[in-house]
Formats: sequence, structure tokens, C-alpha cells
Amino acid sequence: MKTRQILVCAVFGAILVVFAGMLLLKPAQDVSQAERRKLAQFQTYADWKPTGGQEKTLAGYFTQLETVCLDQFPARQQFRELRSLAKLRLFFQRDAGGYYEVDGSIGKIENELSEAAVTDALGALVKLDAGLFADANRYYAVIPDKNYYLAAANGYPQLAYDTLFSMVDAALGQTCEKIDLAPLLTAESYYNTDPHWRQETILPVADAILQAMDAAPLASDVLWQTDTLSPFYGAYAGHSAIGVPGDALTLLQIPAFDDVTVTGVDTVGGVYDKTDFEHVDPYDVYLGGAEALLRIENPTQTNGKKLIVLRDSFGSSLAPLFIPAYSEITLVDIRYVAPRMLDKLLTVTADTDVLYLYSTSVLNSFGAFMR
Amino acid sequence: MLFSSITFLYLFLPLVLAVYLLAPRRAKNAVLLAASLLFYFWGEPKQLPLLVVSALAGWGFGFLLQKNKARWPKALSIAVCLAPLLIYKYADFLIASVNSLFGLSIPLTNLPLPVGISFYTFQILSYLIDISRDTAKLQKNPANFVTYIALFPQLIAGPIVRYETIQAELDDRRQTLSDVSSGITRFCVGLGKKVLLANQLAELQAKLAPASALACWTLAIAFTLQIYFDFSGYSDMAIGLGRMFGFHFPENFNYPFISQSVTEFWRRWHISLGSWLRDYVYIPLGGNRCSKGKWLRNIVVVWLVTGLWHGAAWTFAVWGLFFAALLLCEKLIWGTALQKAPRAVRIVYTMLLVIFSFVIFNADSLAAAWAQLGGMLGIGVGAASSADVYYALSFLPLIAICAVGATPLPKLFCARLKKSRAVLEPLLCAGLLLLVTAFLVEGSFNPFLYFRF
Repeated sequence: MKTRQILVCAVFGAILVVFAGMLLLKPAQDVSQAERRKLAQFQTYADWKPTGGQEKTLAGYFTQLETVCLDQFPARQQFRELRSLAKLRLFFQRDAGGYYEVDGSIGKIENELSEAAVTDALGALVKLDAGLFADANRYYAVIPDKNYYLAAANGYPQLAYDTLFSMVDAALGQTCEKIDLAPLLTAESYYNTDPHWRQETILPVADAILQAMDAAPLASDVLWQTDTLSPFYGAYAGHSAIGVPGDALTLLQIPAFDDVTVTGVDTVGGVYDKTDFEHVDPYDVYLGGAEALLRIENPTQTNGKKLIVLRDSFGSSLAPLFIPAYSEITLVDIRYVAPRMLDKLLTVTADTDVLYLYSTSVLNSFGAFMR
Repeated sequence: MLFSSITFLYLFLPLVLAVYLLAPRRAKNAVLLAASLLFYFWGEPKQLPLLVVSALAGWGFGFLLQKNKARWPKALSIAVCLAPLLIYKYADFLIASVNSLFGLSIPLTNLPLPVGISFYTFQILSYLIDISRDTAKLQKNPANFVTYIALFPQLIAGPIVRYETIQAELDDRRQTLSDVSSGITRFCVGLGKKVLLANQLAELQAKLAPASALACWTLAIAFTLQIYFDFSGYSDMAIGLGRMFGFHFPENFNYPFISQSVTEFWRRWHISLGSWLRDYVYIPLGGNRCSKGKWLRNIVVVWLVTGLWHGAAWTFAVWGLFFAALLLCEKLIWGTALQKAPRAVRIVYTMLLVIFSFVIFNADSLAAAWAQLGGMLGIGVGAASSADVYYALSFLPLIAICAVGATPLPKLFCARLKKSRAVLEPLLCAGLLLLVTAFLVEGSFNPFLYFRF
């Protein structure tokens, strides 16, 4: 009896003291690589500035201190993984905080269609289509997210994709040529740990788009060399804290990429920069990640063809597959540049190909595009 | 500050326990007082003076009531000590009701409700009434009295600890290994009930809208289980923390979901409030030793007070009156027939009524309550959406764990395990503490249900 009582006190005391000591003494971490965000740092009350226009109060400061303790807690990531494991294996929930795992691949439940969000996003595209791009050759393609292939088949709630696709067709179908990507992808086309598609699996997607735009050579006709970077722990792995093995991130390239220049708003670089693999989002290796405007110039292709792609992050890994077929490709991300600014930034002629390429998750996010 | 927070578990608690253990006997109450004031200040810095002034007022009135047994000092002291609760909690409810009834537009006070005000006001009142009845000794030391009122283990979510229960321990108590050990186990179990069960049930509710019969039922069952595991978990933590510091608080829950009547349910649910209202409201009004009319009035008054104690809104008033009606029906109409029914039928009857009652309790308005109750009967809603089915099935194991956990079975099982091996209890505590930490570190859903109490 007494041994048990001593053990209870000792174990409880040891856990409290060890973690309290580590919390107080451990050097503060700046960033959580897994969660892809900055961690809260300790500040004195004098230095602390409330965010979001809140009044500076002691209660607010104490709340901030609680956040610091959460963010800087020792073994935070391991505890997050324990939580997900407990939800899935101890409480037998089918998802952990909205993330689920099917055969080693992580998906995120996104089953609520916001028709207002889709209408809002399409409104921006329709305005551009009727204005700046009215004389160009216009195409559109919607990238189904991973859930399209994983969710319903495995008993998870699914977005009303048919409604979303119909809304896109109704908005753009009259003036643009549709390229249907859904049959060209499978669940295996996406990384296990990330929402994005794998570049090495989307050659049929690139082919379908190039064929529709009457451009050559097709991606599958090019002799690609592959390079892999691993382990790649994508956004879903970090956010869900579901412990699955990392992916290998594959880069498809050709020698001609050495001559290609990629010019951003403030940057000039190449198609891939492997040092970007160390970024918070390793997917940035493809064209440097999120950029409002990127111009890819390919001096080895002399056909003079120009392509403008209005895209989200999926476009970063797809666009390199178009490079052999175009002299110039401009990638525009209207999440970071206001559509009304584009007439000052782009030159559009009747020969220009314009592709609207967006994923279902971006179209379904209200306010995704800049005004 | 919440017990279920990293700052409490890994900064406040180890620091306070260490200082308390090292402090000489004479200084232990001072350590607890400082810790309790810091605990309250952390969460409600602006409301700390109200807590201290209320406690000191109660302490001062104690002297008056000790000397003068006339009715007016008792009435005066109760009125003064009750005033903050009435003003902070019920003024806007009253104004809004008057505005609504008479079409007026009297401005609201918009005073923020201090956390724990209902608990500590009732403790002050019990002290004053006990002093006036000569059932408690006068506390001459103001610091000891403020320590009793502000004692952090039971300050913000009870149980309502009467002064007479801990007056001896307040002046002289011993911290035994047995108490500390059992306190730790009780605290860890309570923490697990709150964080691992109640919080996850709250997550389920956040995913559903009462737009189908299945969702309405899932929401109702999930909330009923959530409030039980949340509230009884807090009580377990309070009782456990109390024991760690040498106090013995009363039990607050006794497996209410195995009750075989609504009357029995209220003997097992929030026991400290029920017994407080019985001893300080119901019996002084005449209890059941009066005419039938007065007895009915007494029942209605007590249950209206019970309802409104939980929150200043008509939903709480109706919730209380719903129970008044059920208790009267059990006493006057179907109580005898109920006793003859099979045990399973009696439990199902009680649970259904309790679940319905918590729909009213949890609703933002009476209209929302009726809509959800109607939804449970399939009125105005469909059967289920695919998302409703998914979430109901996904959380079904958790609901089953909670349903079993609400019975005495886990306690019996643990008692047997404890007898077999000494190492199992420490392992259980360590496992619970680490698992709770894992759930808290994410900063995920950790609602505090008692902000309206």
C-alpha cells in the first residue's frame, strides 16, 4: 500500500518537475517546421503588443503567456503525434482533427461546399476572361483535390464536386475550352503527406492540356531526367501529426532547363532550386513556391508561343512540364496580386494561350483571390 | 487559469506544491491564499478586488451575526453579500426581460460576469447563515476566511464547500501520504475526464448542426455526456487538489446516469448545490412540512433558483421548472408506477428526460431548444445527412466509452487492479497525465462551461 502511494507521488512529481524544468530552461524555438508556422515567444508585458487591434490588458498578456507555454512545450511535436494516435487508435475516431489516413496517405476532410466562395472566385476569373483575356485562346481546368479520390471511396464525407464543377462550367464553359482532369488522376497522383500532386504522375495531365492548346512537344514525348529529394513531410503530415513515412519529392528536368530563366517580382532564378527544400514548405523547390507573378523564358524553344497560366500552388509543379512547348510562360497567382493590376503587368495578344488552372480547395475558399 | 491548462499543470501546480511543502505549518494558509489570489488574478485580473471585498464583507458580517441574533442583521448581511451576484449576473437579464415585456429600451449594464461568483457567493452565504444558526464557529482570522472563499481548487467550478465542512481543516490540517497519493490519482482521473472525454465530445458538437434528427440526437447525447464528464471531472480535480493540500471536500457527483428516477438523479448530480439549496432555501421556506400549496410553491421556488443559478437566461429558468414539474409528477402521479417498472425502463426513462432537459440547458434560446427537441422527434428536419452519419459513427466508440465511464464499472475495475499490483496506479496516473498533456499541447478545443454559473 505504502509503496504504491510513494510511487504515485514520485511519478506525478517527476513528470511535473521534469517538464516544468524543460519548459523553463529549454532554449525557445522560433519555428515549428512540422506545423509550418512561427512559434509564440516570451515577451515582457512592456514589450508585448497585442495583435488584431486588441486592447493591451493583463488578461490578454496572460493569455499570450499561455500560448507561449503551448508553443514552447518540450517534445511538442511528439505530444501532437501522441494525440493523433490516441484519437485514431484509442478512441477509434475515423479522423484526427479533420485529417484521416488511408493506406499511408493523409487526407483532410473538406466536405462543405461554399457556393458563395466559388461564385466569388469565378466572378474574378469571368471578369478577367471578359476583359484582359477576351482576345486570347482561353482554356480552363479544375484540379480535384485529394479527397475526390480518397474520401467517398473510404467512407469519409465528400464535397459536392458535381455542383462545384457545374458552377465552373456555367461560368467559363461558354468562352473557354474545358480540359477535364478528373479522369487523368488517381489517389496515387498525390503525395501521401501533402495535398499536392506528384510531378512524376501528372504527365497525362500536362499532355491533355498541351493537346487541347495545340502545343508540342507533349510532356510524355520529352525524355525527362529525375531527381529526388527526401524525406518530404508535406503540409498534411505536419498539421495532422499522423505519423506516416515521409515522401520522396521528385523533380523532372531536362538539360534545357539550365538555359531557362525564371523571373519573379524581386527574383531571378531557375526552374528548381534544391536549397528551397529546406524551406518551411519544401514544395517551394518547384519554381520557388508562392509568387504573384513569374515569367519563365525558354530560349531553346523558338516557336514564339506564349502561355499565361492563372494558377495556385499546383501550377508550380505542372508548369515546368509545359516549358519545352513554349518560348514564354507567365504564371499569375491572383491570391497575391490584384486582378485589376494585371493589365499593367501582362501583354496579351490573340496568339496568347491563357489557362485558368485552379484546385477545388482554392475555389472553395472564400476570399482566396485578391480584390 | 484552468486546471486543464499547461500553465496550471506545469508551472502553477509544481511551484505551489513545492512552496507549500517547504513552508512551515503556520505559513501554509498564507501560501494557499497567495496561490489562490494569483490563480484568480491570472484569469480575472480586474475581478480580483470584488472577490476579496466580498470575502472580507462576509468575514465582517460574521462578527455582527455572532453577536446579534435579530433578523435584520441576517437580512442585511445576506442582502449585501448577495448584491454583487444579483448585479453582475442578473441585472441585464432583468433589464432585458423588462424591455422585452414592456417594449422599453432601458440600457443594459454589460457588466462582465466574474468567474466563480455563484460558487463563492453561496459559500459566503452558507457561512453567514451557519454563524447565525450557531452551527459554525466564527472565523476570527480574515486571511483564513479569504483563503476559504478563494481556495483555488474549488474557486471557479465548485464543489460548493460549506464553511462547516472545512473549518477544522482550515485551522489545523495534516498532509498525509495517503491523502496526497489519493488526491493525485483523483486529480489525474478528473483531468482525463475533462480533457480526454468532455473536450472531445465538445469537438463532436462543433462539427454538427441540429439540421437532422440524427444530428439533434447526437448533439443532445454528446452534450449530456460532456457536461457530466466536464463538471464531474472538475469536481474530481478539485477534490484531488484539496486532498493534496490536506482538505477533504464533499463529493459532488455519484454516478447520476444510473439513476432510476429524476428524484434520484438530483440526489446524485451536483450534490453540493442540491444540498445547499435544500438546507438554505427549501427547508427555511417550510420544506414539505407545510400545506400542499406552500409545498408546491417551495418546490417551484427552489427549482427556479436552481435553474437561474446556472445562468441568467429563460432557458435555465425553464430547465429548472422542467425538473420541478418532473419531481412533482414523480411524487404525485407516476412515482409508484415507476417503482414497479423494470430497472432498465426506469433508467431509460430517467436518461431520456435528463437528455431532453440538457437540450434546454444548452440552447441559446427557448426557440432553439424547441427546434432541437422537435428535431429529435423528426419535426422539421430530415433523418440524417451523410456527414451526420459519419460523425455519429466516428464518435460512437467515444460515446460508448463515456457511457460505460459514467457507471461505477471503471471504479470497480480499477479497485481490483490496484489490489493486484502496486505499479498499476502510478502507471495509470502517468499515462493519463501524459495523454492529457498531448491533448492540451495542441491548444485544441478546451471549453470552460462555467462562465455563466
